Amino acid sequence: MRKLFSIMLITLVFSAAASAQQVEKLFDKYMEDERFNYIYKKGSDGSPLNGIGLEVLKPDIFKNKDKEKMLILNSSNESFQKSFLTEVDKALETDKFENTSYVRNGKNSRISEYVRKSSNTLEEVQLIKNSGGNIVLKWEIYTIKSK
Amino acid sequence: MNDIDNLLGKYFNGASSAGEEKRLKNYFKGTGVLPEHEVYRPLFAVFNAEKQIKAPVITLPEKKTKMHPFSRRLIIWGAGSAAVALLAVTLSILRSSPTQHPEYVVIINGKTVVNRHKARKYAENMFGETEKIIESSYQPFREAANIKEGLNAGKILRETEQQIEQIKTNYKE
Repeated sequence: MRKLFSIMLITLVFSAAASAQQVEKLFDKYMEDERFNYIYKKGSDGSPLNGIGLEVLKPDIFKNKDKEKMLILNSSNESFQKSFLTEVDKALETDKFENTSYVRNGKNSRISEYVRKSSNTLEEVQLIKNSGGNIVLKWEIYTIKSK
Repeated sequence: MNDIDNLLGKYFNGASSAGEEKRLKNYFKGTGVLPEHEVYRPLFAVFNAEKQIKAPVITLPEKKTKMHPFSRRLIIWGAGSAAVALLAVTLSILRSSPTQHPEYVVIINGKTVVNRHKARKYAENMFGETEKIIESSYQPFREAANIKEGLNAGKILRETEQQIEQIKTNYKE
């Protein structure tokens, strides 16, 4: 019984670690795909940055951008666009991102923003779908520091 | 003779005592065994021979000392904790390993932009464009927030109060 419990505990830790980064896996999966453009930018150390999402933080806390990544889908294949959006939604749900805003401009344009916070990190994901058929997935990772 | 026959009868019926069996054995061991009793001699000879055979010394394997339930539990928990600790250390090493990431990585339609300058320019341009789209989309939110702030009754009252105070001060002067 105890052996079983230990195995379950270890399995739980492994599965938690494995399922924690579905969004990252999505980037890894499509970064070299011909239908996508992938852009990575290393964050600048030690400089507090203002941006969308800062209002969710307390005023005595600021954030340093560690890195940001972007995937841009250029395919006009509607079924692939849909399946990619489903994958993104699933990954965000699995990684327990919270949907903080949703803006719809026109028939086919929308921007959704997602946030995930831990004790010392903040992750922001923006999903943009415009009427031209482009889908942009932007992921920013911040380190939260107290003043 | 009758005595021996009786003893044999009792022996085969399983009713003989240890003393009586001893007597029978001694009788058959001796030389005065009657011919009618000779048929039983091999039987008692076997018993005598059996008596001489020494049972081989069997050394029994040492009894396994049963592990104390506490130490067993300790081992299980120790192993479990060690596995979890190892996993945590491995993950932290993987996360904090100082792999030299370049400042910009740009892959366009599956092809990596090797030129650093071009990669940087493209990345900055795309991040800037995306930021503009996001900013413009959130513009109505900001405008709504400004309107809400402008319609703040408390703020209007405070400002009006300040204006009245200023008029009063000017009038006194």
